[in-house]
Amino acid sequence: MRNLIFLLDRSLLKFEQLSLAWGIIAMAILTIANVLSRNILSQSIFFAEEITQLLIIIVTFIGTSYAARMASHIRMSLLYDTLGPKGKKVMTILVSACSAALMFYLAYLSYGYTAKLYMRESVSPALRLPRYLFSMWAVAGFSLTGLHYAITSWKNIVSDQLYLGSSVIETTIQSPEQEKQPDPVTETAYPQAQE
Amino acid sequence: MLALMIGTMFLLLFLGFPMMIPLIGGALVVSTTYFSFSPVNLVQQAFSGIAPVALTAVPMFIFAADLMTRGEVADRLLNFVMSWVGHKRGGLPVATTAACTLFGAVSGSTQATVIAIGGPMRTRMLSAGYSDSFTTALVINASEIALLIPPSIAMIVYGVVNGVSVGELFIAGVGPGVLIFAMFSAYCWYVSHNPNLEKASLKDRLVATKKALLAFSFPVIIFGGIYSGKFSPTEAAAVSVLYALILEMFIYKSVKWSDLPKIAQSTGEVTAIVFILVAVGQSFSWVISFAQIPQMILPSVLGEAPSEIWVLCVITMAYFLGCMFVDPIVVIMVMSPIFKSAIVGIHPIFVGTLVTLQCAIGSGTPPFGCNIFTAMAVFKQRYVDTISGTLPFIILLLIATILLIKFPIIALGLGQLAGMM
Repeated sequence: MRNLIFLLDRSLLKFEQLSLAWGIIAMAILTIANVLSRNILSQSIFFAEEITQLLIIIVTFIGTSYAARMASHIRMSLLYDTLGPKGKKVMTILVSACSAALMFYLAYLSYGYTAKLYMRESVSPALRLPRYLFSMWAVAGFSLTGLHYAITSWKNIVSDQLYLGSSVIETTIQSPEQEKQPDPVTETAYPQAQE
Repeated sequence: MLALMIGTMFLLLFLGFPMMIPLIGGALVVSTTYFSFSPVNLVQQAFSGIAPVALTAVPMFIFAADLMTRGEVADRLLNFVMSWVGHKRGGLPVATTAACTLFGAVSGSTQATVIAIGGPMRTRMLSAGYSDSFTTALVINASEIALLIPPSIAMIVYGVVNGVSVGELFIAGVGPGVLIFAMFSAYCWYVSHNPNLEKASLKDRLVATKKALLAFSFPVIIFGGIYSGKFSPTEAAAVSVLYALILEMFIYKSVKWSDLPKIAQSTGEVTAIVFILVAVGQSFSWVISFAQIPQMILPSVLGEAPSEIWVLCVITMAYFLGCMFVDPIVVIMVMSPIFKSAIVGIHPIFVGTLVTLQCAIGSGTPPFGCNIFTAMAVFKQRYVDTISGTLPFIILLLIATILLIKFPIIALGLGQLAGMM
């Protein structure tokens, strides 16, 4: 069972990384090709805009999930930084659990929106692609983000270590003895930063 | 209703939730408590937030910046500046400021500038005897110039959200960017000593210039392309990526094919972090407009028939204070609908430039400017040490703000010269 979960997690990580990397590379190829086509052949690629939109949606929502996993979403850590190791752990459990709940709710709303588009048989103007192919990435992205926050919360409950994201362990957590002589390097190893 | 929305947002922010949560949380609480529309509308609005094609410029400029940070462009620009001014009084800090400005002209990201220029220049300045606090503060604040010199991610988001020409905003950012560069250089000269560095020979200077020549083509492509009307900002971004790829992969050979997916993945992550804020920020903005919150706030803040100067001062203060605490993208998404009706009659490009300047200042201002955290991570420094020398630079930046409000020509002059505005 443990191996299966590990395998699923690795596969999901690979999917997130590949979606981000190839989403950006495809976007770059398409926009560059469109500029060259417009300036050299005086003709724009008619589907460039739509595919770029789709790629932006994929990168945004799958990237949101990846950033939740890596704890790289921007947040204000004023209160968190003043807490001790236990306080940080409790706070992370609460914040992650509430974030997970909200993300699952947003996934549910996105599903509602996708179902609406499916029923309406709404299509994109250039390629006639069904619109739900665009919005379903929000369902996937919000669900996966919720899953990462839920795992973060759960890992913090069952483990002694402090998980900032489902794949990131806070290395600055210190024993009370160490805390008396803080190490400036390890203290800032994981700043709550910023894009 | 206003108290509920602000209270929810501040509580979630203060508790350390990722910033997309306070935005969507505030919007959800108000919409479900006071209005009967379906919350599915919020998701629909989030999609419309990231739908504009002009936003494609953001990942493309970030991708170009990531390629150059990984490659040699930053080093070559540094060596060029150092060979010409490094030996003079204040030469090293002025070179740092100049390199930040030049790298800003090729990348558009303040964080990329802190990493690419801050890392190598800080070592050189420390070994030349400059204090740690001055060096770090200079890197943090000089990197803010990158937000004003085109390309600029904040300008793209502001332009898209407010329906203002991104190309014109780019042109308007040059004047304030150069002004701040001049002010920082003068301050660096005033507080500096002679660095005892050997003056580079003419031959060395010419070699460094030759090596940097190709990197100078970036501003020519971006600025020249947009200024002449040849490219839209999105197209300029695409051409930047193409040029960065050619330069780093085929000419400098510093980036390999196998490096590309990793670099693109990093670009994708940063893009997602920015765009999810734009998406949920759009939902939040829509609720603000639907609930007519600007009509509730503005009369009490601005008073009846406010003067243009007063409106600009209030906008400046609001953005400056906001950016001290949260990411500039969040502030732009929240403040734009609030001030939309107040700025009618004021030149939209001028307001956009002023707002971007405040975003730039806020990025380096304690307690939560994002450049501070980037510098902490790159230089492995404590928070207190990182911010200890920032005050003189913040004062200079506030003087630049006053000058810009007093003399809008600083921003609008270049565009008017080209007949764009």
